[in-house]
Amino acid sequence: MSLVDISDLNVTFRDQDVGRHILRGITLAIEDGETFGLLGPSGCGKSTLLRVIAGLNRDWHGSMALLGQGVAPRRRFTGTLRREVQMVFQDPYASLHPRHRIGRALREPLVVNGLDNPDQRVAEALAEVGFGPDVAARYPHQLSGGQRQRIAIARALLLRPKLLLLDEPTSALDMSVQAEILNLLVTLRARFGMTFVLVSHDPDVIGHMCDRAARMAEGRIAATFDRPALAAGAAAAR
Amino acid sequence: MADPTLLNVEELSVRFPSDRGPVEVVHGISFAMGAEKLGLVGESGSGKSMTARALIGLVAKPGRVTADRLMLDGEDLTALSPRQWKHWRGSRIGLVLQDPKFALDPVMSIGRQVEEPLKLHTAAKKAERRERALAMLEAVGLPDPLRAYHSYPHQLSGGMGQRVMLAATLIAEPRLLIADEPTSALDRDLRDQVLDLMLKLVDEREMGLILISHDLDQVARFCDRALVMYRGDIVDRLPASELANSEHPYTKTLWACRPSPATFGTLLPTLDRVSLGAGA
Repeated sequence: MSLVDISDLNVTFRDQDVGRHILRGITLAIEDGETFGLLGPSGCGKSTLLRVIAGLNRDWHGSMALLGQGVAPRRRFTGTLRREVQMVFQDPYASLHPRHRIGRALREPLVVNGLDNPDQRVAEALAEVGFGPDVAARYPHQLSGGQRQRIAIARALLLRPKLLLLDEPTSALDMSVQAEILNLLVTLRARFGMTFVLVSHDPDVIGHMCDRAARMAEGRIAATFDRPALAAGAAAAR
Repeated sequence: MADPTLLNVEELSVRFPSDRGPVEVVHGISFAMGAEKLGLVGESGSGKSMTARALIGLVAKPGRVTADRLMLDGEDLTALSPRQWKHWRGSRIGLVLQDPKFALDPVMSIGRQVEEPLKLHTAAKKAERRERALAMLEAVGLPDPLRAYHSYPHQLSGGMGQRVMLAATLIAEPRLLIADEPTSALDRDLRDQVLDLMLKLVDEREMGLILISHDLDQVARFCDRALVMYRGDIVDRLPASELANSEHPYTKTLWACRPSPATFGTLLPTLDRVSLGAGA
């Protein structure tokens, strides 16, 4: 069984009493250990699909299984899924509480999940993304955009997820900082054996990171690419 | 090279006071340009946007701009009073910003925003202003200029908003256009379209263009020359087409750190900030 198994997934939003069909019959299987890319123009539904897989958008129709467990619509994730699926958001400025120190931001998922030795785990997580333990005492505004994105990645990794969802993780960053973050993701993926779903509008990022990818358009999967197709630059072609 | 006397900058510095004494964010840079396309590249915080703001007199207080020489079209910008700046901005130098969502006034119609520079800088009457605004909206490739004229910023897409901003900047026919990351808020497919348009209009009007970008590939494709900034200094100057072959370690890494399908399975080169810091 695939790690992510989605069939005939539909999402509609109600906008001023007009139904808007955001995802139209998505069927998708993502295998254990692969990095799967989703690309497409703004508004094509790629972020909505990621939020459904993350359990953040629960109002959907169809069927979905994650890590072999069936997930029902309008229900929160239960059991180990709550740890094993984690997400990193686009904007590192918006995804950390401005009045919480980094140590508190990182301890929160540990406390919520009742894990032991939170301080030691936080120090380890910071080391994994290249920080010393003293960063725990800082506030988000004392860090640069790239440093904040590394903190967001450290927080997602604290619970040792099997599936990491990345929503445009580098599009708010400089090219040079993007390279540092992509390298970090590649290194951590190899060390912890994770599966990635990477949303990006940049075909170069998809081509650099992904084993397979899908191009979305108007709520549908318009094309899928395997590695030879991505290597040939298919993701960039129109 | 074109006539190098459009803009002449010598020892331009920008400082901000802080608790620990003044912080200099641009360290006495010098360059000259004619009616050409100059790319200003570097990472966030390298001082490229602050340089642009200094050139158009928009460094906010308590920031302080000093320069031995700041000449545009033979006139000395260092001696301008705030009142004179008001006249220069828009009529001689235009600025296009990154995101039309923030740069356009949300409660003013597109037509009024495009006409505003004519109202401020020319004696054109109402009918003539409207005619010129409509012609300008057509020149920037809006499919239905009359409809755009009467609409508001929220009714336009990002690409259309950026075209409107370009129209409002170029309508008073400035000699120098500064574009600060004009395409980074746009979808990739739109970027080249908007830049192609900007370059065509700049060429037709024989203006100078300073394109500020962190995308070296974009500068290599669209500009004549490039200045590379790092921590407030110009560390590398070269023809834009030579960016790929630069010997400078900073430029080299900025060029090579782009991901692509060919770099799959490899780690990208990153900046060795420790050794760069020692060299500077």
